[in-house]
Amino acid sequence: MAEHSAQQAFAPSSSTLLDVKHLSVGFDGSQVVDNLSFNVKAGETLALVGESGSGKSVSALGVMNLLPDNAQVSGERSLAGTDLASLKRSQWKTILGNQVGFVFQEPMTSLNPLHRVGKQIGETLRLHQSLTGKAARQRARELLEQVRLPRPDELLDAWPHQLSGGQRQRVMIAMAIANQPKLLIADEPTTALDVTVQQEILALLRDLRDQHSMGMLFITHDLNLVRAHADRVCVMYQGQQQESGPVSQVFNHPQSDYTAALLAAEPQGRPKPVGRVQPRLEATRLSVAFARPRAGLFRRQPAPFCGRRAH
Amino acid sequence: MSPITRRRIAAFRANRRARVSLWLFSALFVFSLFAELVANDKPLILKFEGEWYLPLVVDYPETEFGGFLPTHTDYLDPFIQEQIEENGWALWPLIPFSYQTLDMHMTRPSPAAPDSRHWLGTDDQGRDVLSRVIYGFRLSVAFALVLTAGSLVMGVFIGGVQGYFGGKVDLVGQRFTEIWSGLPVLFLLIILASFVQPGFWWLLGIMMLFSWLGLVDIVRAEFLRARNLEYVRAAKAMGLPSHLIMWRHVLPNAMVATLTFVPFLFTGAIGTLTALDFLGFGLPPGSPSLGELAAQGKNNLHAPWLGITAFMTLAVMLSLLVFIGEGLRDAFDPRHVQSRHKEVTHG
Ligand SMILES: Nc1ncnc2c1ncn2[C@@H]1O[C@H](COP(=O)(O)OP(=O)(O)OP(=O)(O)O)[C@@H](O)[C@H]1O
Ligand SMILES: [Mg+2]
Repeated sequence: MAEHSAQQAFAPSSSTLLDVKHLSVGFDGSQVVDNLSFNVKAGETLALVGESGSGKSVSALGVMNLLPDNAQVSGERSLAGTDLASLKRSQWKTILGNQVGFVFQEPMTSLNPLHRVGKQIGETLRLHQSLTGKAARQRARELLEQVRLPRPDELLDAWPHQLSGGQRQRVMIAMAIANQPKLLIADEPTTALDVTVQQEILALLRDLRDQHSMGMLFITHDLNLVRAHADRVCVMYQGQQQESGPVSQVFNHPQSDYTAALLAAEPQGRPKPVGRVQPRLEATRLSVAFARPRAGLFRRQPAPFCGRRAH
Repeated sequence: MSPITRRRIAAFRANRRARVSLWLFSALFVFSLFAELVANDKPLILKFEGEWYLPLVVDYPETEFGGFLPTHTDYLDPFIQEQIEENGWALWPLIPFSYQTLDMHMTRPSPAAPDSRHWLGTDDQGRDVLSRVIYGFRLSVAFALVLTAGSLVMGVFIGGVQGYFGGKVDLVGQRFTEIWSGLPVLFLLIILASFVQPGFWWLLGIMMLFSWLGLVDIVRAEFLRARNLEYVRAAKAMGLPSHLIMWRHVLPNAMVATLTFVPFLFTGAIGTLTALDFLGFGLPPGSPSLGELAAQGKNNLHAPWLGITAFMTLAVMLSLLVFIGEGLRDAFDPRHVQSRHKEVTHG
C-alpha cells in the first residue's frame, strides 16, 4: 500500500498543500531547527520522525505560528499557495482550526480544565461553521462517536479531569477534525492509546484523508506506524534533516547513517523469559471508585463514561 | 457549576468564622438598605381625620394637620404630634430621626449623652448618632462596592492586556503604571476640593483612577503565565481570536488569584473613604459618614459616645470583612481543599 501511494506522491502533481523550505527555528539565539524542508501533498501522509528533542514539535508549531514570542522562525512556508510567513494576525484565524487541524502532543494539558468537553468542541464549531445550540451538540456527539469514544452523550457533559489520557487525546482529535481541515498536523496523536484503539484512530484518519483528500503531517517516533500509515517520511536528528523520501525507499535503502542506526535499533526477537523471582509489588482484589453526583429531585444520576459497571 | 467551584464553596462553608461573618455582614447591609424605613423623621403611615397619609412618599404642608403655615410638616413638632394624636394615629419608624434631622425639640445641649430618646446620643449638631451610623454604614458599603467593582474591571482589563500580549505593550504598560502609582492621590483630592465640592461620584471617580493599580500586577502575572499554557495554545490553533481566548480560557484561571484579592480591596476602599472624611476632604458636609463621626469624637473628647460608636462600627465592619476575606482566600487555596471524592477500598 505504501508503494502505491508513494508513486502517487511522486507523480508530477501540483497539489502540494503545505510547502516548507529552509525552515529554521531558534530560541533566544540557540538554533533548534536548522534548514528543514518538506512538503505535504493533498491526500498523502508525511511522517516526521526523529528522536526525542530533535525538533519535530517545534517545526510543526513554527510553521503554524504557534510558538511563544521568544522563538525566531525563518524560511519559506506556504499553504495551498498562501504565503504563511507574511500572514497577518487576522488572516491566521481563517486558516487555523479551519484549513489546518492541530492535534497536540500533550493530551493531559491541552484541554481547558474549566470547560466541559462539549463546550470545547462546540467552540470551534461555532467559530468556523457558526453551529450553535442543538446543532453544535449533535455534531460534537457525532465527532466523539467517530473517534470511538464510548457513551458520547455523557462525555459531552464531562470535565476534562474525569477523562483518561487516551480519552482526552481522542477528544483532541475530534476537535482537530471538526471542521474537515485540508491539512491535519498530528503530533504523536496516539501515544496514550492502546494498540487496538490506536489502529482504529489511524484507520479513521486515513479514511478522512482519502475521503476529503486531506493532507497529513504525522509526527511520531514509532517506526512501525510510519511503515503502516505513511506515504513519505522525513527523518530528523538534532534539528537537522537527515533524509526524506518514500517510506519503502528510506526503510529499505537508508542513505544516512543516522537513519540506518535508527532502523537497526528497532527491537527484534522476543524477550527472555523471566526466571523464578520474588514479586516486588503485589496487588490483590484492588478496586478504585469515584463518588459520582447523587440523583436528586431535579437531576438523575449520569451514567459513567467507561464501559464498566459502577458500584 | 464546575466541581472545583463546588469544592470551593464547600471549603468556604466549612470555615465557620467566615460563614458567620458573611451572614452577619449581609444581614447588616440588607438591614441598612431599608434605612429609610428604620430611621426617619416622618411617620411611615398616618391616619388623620379619617384620611390616610404616606409622609414618606408625599410631602404634605403643615396646614393639612392643623398647622398655620403652608410649609413642610415637621412631624417632630410637639404641636403637630398633639394634633395627630387627637385626630388619628401615626406609625413611626423605630428611630424617629433621619441622619440629617436636627432635634430642635430637645431640652439638653448637644452633644447629648445616650438616653431613651437618642439611643447612642447626639452629635455636636444635635443629630441622632444611631441614625447616622445606619446611613453611614450603607453609604460606606455602597461606595466600596462600586469602587471595588470598577477597579476590578479596570485592573483586570489593563493587567490582562499587558500580560497576554506581553512585549512592547507590557513594557509601556508597566512603565505607565509605575509613573501613575507615583502620583499623590491625597494631594489631588485636596486640589480638587478647592475648586469643586467633591460629591459621592466625584470621589468615586478619582479613587477609581488609582485603586486598580493594586490589581494590575496580579492579573498581569496570571495572564503571563497562562498565555503559554497548552490549552491556550490549543485554542490559538483552533483559530480563536485573542479576545475570546482571553475571556474564555485565560480569565477564568486568572480570576482565582484576583478574587482572593477583592475582599481586601473592599476593606481598603472603606478605610480610604473613612480617612478622607475624617480629614475633611471626603463627602460633602451633612452626608452620613463614619469618618466624620470619628472626627467629631476627636473634637469632643468630653462626649466619648461619639468616638466609641465610630470606633466600634468601623471595627466590627472591617473585622467581618477581613474574616470573609480570609475564608475566601482559604477556599481558593488548593492546599486547603481536601479531596473527599476518592476512596480506595479493598475487595
Ligand atoms: N519554548 C522553548 N524554549 C527553548 N527551547 C525550546 C522550547 N521548546 C522546545 N525547545 C527545545 O527545542 C528542542 C526540540 O524540541 P521538540 O519539542 O521539538 O522535540 P520533539 O522532537 O518534539 O521531541 P519529542 O519526541 O520528545 O516530543 C528541544 O531541545 C527543546 O529543548
Ligand atoms: Mg514533540
